[in-house]
Formats: sequence, C-alpha cells, structure tokens
Amino acid sequence: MDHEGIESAWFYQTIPESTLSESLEIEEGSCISPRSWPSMAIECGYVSTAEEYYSRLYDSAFQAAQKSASDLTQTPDRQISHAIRTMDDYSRIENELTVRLSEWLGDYTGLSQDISNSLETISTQSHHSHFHAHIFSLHNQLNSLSIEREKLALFIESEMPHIAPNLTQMAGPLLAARLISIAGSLEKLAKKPSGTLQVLGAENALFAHLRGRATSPKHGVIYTHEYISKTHPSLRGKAARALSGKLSIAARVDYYSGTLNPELHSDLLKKMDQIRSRGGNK
Amino acid sequence: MTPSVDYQYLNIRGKTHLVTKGPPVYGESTKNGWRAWDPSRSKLGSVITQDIDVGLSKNVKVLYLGAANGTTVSHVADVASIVYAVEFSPQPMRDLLNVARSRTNIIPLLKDARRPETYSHVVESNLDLLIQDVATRGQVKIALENKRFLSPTGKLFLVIKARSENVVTHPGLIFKSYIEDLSQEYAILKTKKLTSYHKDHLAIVAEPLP
Repeated sequence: MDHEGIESAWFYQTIPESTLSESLEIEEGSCISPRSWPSMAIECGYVSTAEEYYSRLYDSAFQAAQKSASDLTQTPDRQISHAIRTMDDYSRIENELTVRLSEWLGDYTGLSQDISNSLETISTQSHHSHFHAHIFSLHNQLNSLSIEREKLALFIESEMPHIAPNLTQMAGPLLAARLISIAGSLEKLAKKPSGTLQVLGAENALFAHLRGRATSPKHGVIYTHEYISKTHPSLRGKAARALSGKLSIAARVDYYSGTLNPELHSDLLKKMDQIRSRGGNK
Repeated sequence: MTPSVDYQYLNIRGKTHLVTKGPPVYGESTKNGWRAWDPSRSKLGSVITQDIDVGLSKNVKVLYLGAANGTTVSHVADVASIVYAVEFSPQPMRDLLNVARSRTNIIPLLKDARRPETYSHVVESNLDLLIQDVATRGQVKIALENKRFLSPTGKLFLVIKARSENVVTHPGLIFKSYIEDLSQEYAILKTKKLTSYHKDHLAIVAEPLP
C-alpha cells in the first residue's frame, strides 16, 4: 500500500482525538501534492470509516476557520477602522440633519435666521403646534450625535499612538486612522507603495485617469494634512510625494517594529522646508 | 429539462424555480424541503438555469474556490457529497461558517486560493468538480494551480470576472487572453457570457488535459 506523503497529512502526528491539535495542523500545515487522504487515513488506522474521517475533518476545519477568522478581525487596527468610519458616518449624518433642521425651522417660523435663534423664537411662542416637539427632538438628536462624534475622536486620539506611533506622530491620529481604514489594516498599509498611499481616498480620480479621461490625482485623504493643504497649489504634488513617502516608511516601521522613531519626523520636516522654500509658498 | 434527484425545477407560489433539497439559508422560497436557487444571486445557478451541464450531480466531491458567504456553496452542498469551501476573507467566512453549521459536508477553509500548497494537506486529490469564483487578479493562474486536485475525468467550472483583472481593458480582450492561457491545461467545453444578472462575467466549463 502506498503511504508516500502521509507525513504531510493534516491528521498525521496530531494528538489522538484532539480537535485542537488537528485544527492547528489544518491552519499551519502545507504540502505540494494532494493525495487520497480519506483512504490513507483509514489504511493507517487513524479512522475506521470514510464517514468518521469526514466528521473529524469537519470538526477540526470548522474550528480552524473560526479561530483564524477571529484572529484576523479582532485586531486593534480593525477596531480603529470601524471607529473612524463611524465617526465619519456621524459627521455625514449630522450635516444632513442640520440642513433638514434649518430648512424645517425656516418654513416653520417663516423667518430667515440661524438655528439657535429660530429655536429660541419658537420656544418663547406661547402657542405650540404639534410640530413643535418633533423639531426640538430633532435638535436634541443632533446634539447627541455631535457629542458622540467628539467622544469617538478623543478615543481614536488616545488609541492611535499605541497602534501606529510613527504614523500618528506624522499624520495626526485621525488621518492615520483614516489611512489604515482605507487600506484595510496596518499590514496592508505597510505593504502598499508610497505612490498608492499618496492617492488613497482619490480612487475615482485615479480610475478616471487610468481610463485616460483625466490627469492623475496629486493626493487623496492626505490632503487634510497641513503639509499639503497649507502648501502653495503649485507645489502640492511635490509635497504629497514627499509626505506619502515618509508616511509609508512610518507605516512600515509601525507594522514591523512598533517603536517610535523621532528621526523619521525630522527628516520629513527638513524635506518640507526645502520644498516650501523653493518658492511660491504663501 | 430533465428533473433529477440532484436539482430540479419546481413551481413555488406560481413561479418556476430551480431548487435543491436542504435547510434554507438566506430567506429563499421553499416547498416540501426544496429551496429555490436564485440565479440572480448565484452565477452557478444562473448557468444551470440556462441548461448548461457544469458537472454538478449527486455524490460528487467538490473543491469550491471563492466560497464567499456560502450562498452558492449551500446549494452545491445540497447535491454534492463533500464540498471543500475555500475563502480568503474573514468576514464572509463568518457567514460561511453559519451555512456550514447546518451542512456537515461543507469543509470550511480560510485559505488563499492562489496558494494551494497551504491546503493540499487537507483537500484530497481526485475531485470531481472544481468551482472557481474568485474576485482577484490572476484568475487563470489559480485555475491552473488548482488543477492538481481534479481527477482526470473531473470538470472545472470557472467564472472570470473581467473587472477584477483590470478595470481599464475591455472585458472581451481579457476573456480572449484568458481562454488562450487556460487552454494550455484544460479543454474548454463551453463558454457563456453572464450578461443578464452578472455583468462582465464569463462562465467557462472545461476538462483537465492529461
């Protein structure tokens, strides 16, 4: 009987009857050519029937997949991605509701004034229509959304230095979190070339460019960084390249070593001074 | 349309559906234990309703690459005897695990289909059907690399998503070069553009060459 290659099988050399050791082997084992594992397992006495083989395999594979899936999703950078996306959702919804409130108030009072004055006007009215309560409740919802958004921002600011110290120092906690969330994880960000990092968040512009319909985007979400937004427009492309280059180095240091390296930041400062002093900086 | 025990066509509440037998998964219509296989949610289902033989029949052993949430996998598992379901991304894997809870013939594997050596120690050789529906670059290379699991009489059902390969090039050109590359190791039996439900996708049924 041909048992060649059996030493690579997922069930070989595992602790007998241990789903845990089998699932570890499923996660971490490897081999080049597949074989008739079920019949080999029966021949070597690991199981006595094919049904038993598949039932053991099912239990161990299920456990392995469950464990590796949660190992991949329960990481701090995944959680921070959710936090920053929630924060961005909050501010989007806040904007929408603010527009709604101000339109409603304008129509309700018939006056053109800002939200707080309008609310004051209607709260001093002695005669309330039944719309009144709903307008106030909308206003309260808006307030609590804004409080929640600020709490989330504080949370991200306190967490980010632990998750990506160099990236946070260079980009600021919110931009750093946004970069991680767009890339998917710190690992994926660290493995992206700096030219990709430079245009993260400008995907529509990038694909329009690739289809030949537009010029290439100079920057994506890193635009919010003052090194770019406060640099003269004619030098922003250059500044974006310099910044994204250092940001991707920072992301790599954070992912592979995790310790703060202040030299990185001073390198970037020097480079930015150089670019800005070349003229045109307003 | 020959009704068979594997899957058949059944009238549920005035509408004819392709159906398989098994516990419901995603809120599909059911009747007497049979459940509708929605062709708009499943590329494989859509091809089967067009009367194309993909090699899915009772008791086959299947390797499914790109199992995703397990919608299509659940129907395949209703028919097949064993389905090795490979999915790379942890989020859809959670849904797939829920599907596998009610179907013990699904072997869930959180693995990268581009690296078959990471699951060759689990997935057996001589399988009857290789189903591939992955949204990544290098889709043909994956089909070639995973040929090692197929029996010489087995079949490949491959869905190529042109947009995963290159968003800029015209899909027709991508399909053409794909079929050429695939022909090195597979005999193409049938190709079908999935225009109605799944845009820019090409389904291919093929047999491994010796």
